[in-house]
Amino acid sequence: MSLRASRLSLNYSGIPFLRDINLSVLPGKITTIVGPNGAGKTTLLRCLASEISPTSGSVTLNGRDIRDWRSADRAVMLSILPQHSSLDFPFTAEEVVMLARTPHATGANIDQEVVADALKVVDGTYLSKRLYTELSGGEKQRIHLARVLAQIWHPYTEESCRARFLVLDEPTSSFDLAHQKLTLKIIKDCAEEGIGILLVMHDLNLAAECSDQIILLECGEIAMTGTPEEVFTVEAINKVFNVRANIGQHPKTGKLLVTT
Amino acid sequence: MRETKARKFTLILFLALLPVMIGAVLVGPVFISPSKLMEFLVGWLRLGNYALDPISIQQEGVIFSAIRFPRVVLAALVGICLASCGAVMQGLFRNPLADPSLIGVSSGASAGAGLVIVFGGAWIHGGSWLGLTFVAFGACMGGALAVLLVYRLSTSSTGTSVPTMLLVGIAVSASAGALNGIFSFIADNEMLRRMSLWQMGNLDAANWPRVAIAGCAVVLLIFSLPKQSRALNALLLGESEARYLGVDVERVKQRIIFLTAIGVGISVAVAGMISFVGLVVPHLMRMMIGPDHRYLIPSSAIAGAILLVIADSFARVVVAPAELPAGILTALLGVPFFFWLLTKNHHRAMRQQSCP
Repeated sequence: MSLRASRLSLNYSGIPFLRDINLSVLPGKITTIVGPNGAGKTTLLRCLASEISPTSGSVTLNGRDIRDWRSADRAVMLSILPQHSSLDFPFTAEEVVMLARTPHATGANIDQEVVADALKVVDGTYLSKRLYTELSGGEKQRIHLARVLAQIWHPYTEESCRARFLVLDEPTSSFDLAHQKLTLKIIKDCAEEGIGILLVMHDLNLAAECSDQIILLECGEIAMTGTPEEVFTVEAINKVFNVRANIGQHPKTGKLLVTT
Repeated sequence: MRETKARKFTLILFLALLPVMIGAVLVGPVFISPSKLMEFLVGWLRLGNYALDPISIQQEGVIFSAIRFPRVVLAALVGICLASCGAVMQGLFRNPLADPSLIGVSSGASAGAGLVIVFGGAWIHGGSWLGLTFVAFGACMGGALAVLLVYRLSTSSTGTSVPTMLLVGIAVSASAGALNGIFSFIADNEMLRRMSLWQMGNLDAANWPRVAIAGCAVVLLIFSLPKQSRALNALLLGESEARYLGVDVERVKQRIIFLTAIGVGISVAVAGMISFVGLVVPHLMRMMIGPDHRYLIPSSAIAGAILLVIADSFARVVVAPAELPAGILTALLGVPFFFWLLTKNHHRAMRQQSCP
């Protein structure tokens, strides 16, 4: 059970966007892609979502090519949060989260329950009756987080044994401190439930705090991969981001601390 | 709950449709009294044996069964087609200002009708087949051709691009408009008058064959559009998001374009161009019950029918015994209501901003 990319390459009119990418997202593990702007992080996610067909190489979900899955079957296993969503229609927040139940056939009552639970998890219950179009940027992002959670939410234990993957593209970018912390907690809880998680993040400290595996992407190639301690070194950050960083330890928590 | 409210609202609209249609049957240059209407209906059921005052009943009976009744039914059917197609188009384009005319149906139909009017000659003007005039056929062909062109030009190996479709639609509409301009330039006074009257839309040519044709389109729409409503809801999030949610986006697009082309093409063929219904009725319904297509499509369809039936009744009465084109009245009736809703919502938004 995994979401795996093997020897993935992508060219547009001769220009390479991704070169020879190998990665696997395993159940219960948090994998984070970091890298400078334009390194191909989002493009890689779109390949994994089978939205772009790679020039060569393949993406497999549970050992089967991602394009061979029926789209509704895939949707209940793999949930993706894009960087930006543009929704201009006045749904209520609750209705937006309810859209996540499109691929499910669990019935209205269970759907309602799942939506209420997902909203509670992201601290969005008080928003549920508000119109989405009138929410602030951070509130909107939280509603979308609840939506992608509701998409792979299974209230029954036998169904939750199935492999599930959550892909989040910069999930914390417009959150305040409290909600950044909450998001990290949600991600960790999901991993504990056995959901495989792939993140794209810019904040190296947040990435170091929650990830099991870091993938450092540079110009469409994997420059380095390993645990946060292995990847976040002064040399690697200098090489990829062209910034002289100080790597230390947090005096109280003992966690890795990257400062510039 | 909004859902319960939406369901109730749709039901109320549905219940209102029948009284509105009955009322519309009664009014016109010749008023048919409700008791007479009952007599006709009973007579229809029993076939004969109802004549007390044979001559007047006969005259009113003919007006009722050959003119008024098919006309009101046709108005309702055309209203259903235009408004439901408008609702799904706005969903597909993710733009509340979209309109079936965006994919070129209306301007193509207009050019097709113009072509027949100007170059058809006298024998074609009068000719008809299956209750449709050749002008209507020209319109239908023109509309279909325009949609086909828009669809072909905006589809590549990677699928149909909705933004490209919008631009191609504008280009095709512009060229059809130019073509229509050329036809008007060539046309003589009588032809010009016919062309511009046709473009305003009119239901005065209603007859049973036309009702049957429009009825087929409505049956098709009623059975196929609601199936797309959950997919359309997901599409409002964006194409990628809909795909992540397991929606087969390409297939949904194809079906909706196909159904809209049929719905609007047939409406234009039987009733000419009736503006405003496809654009504003769904918009109005969205303001009242929210953007959920499961309720938006049926409520728009019924509201479209009600609006067009009322507008057509006014068209018959206002300047009786002459008639106004119904297309003018749909706008005259709908616009004030639309403005009222706009300003009401605007005030609400302002209040919410000032005191959080």
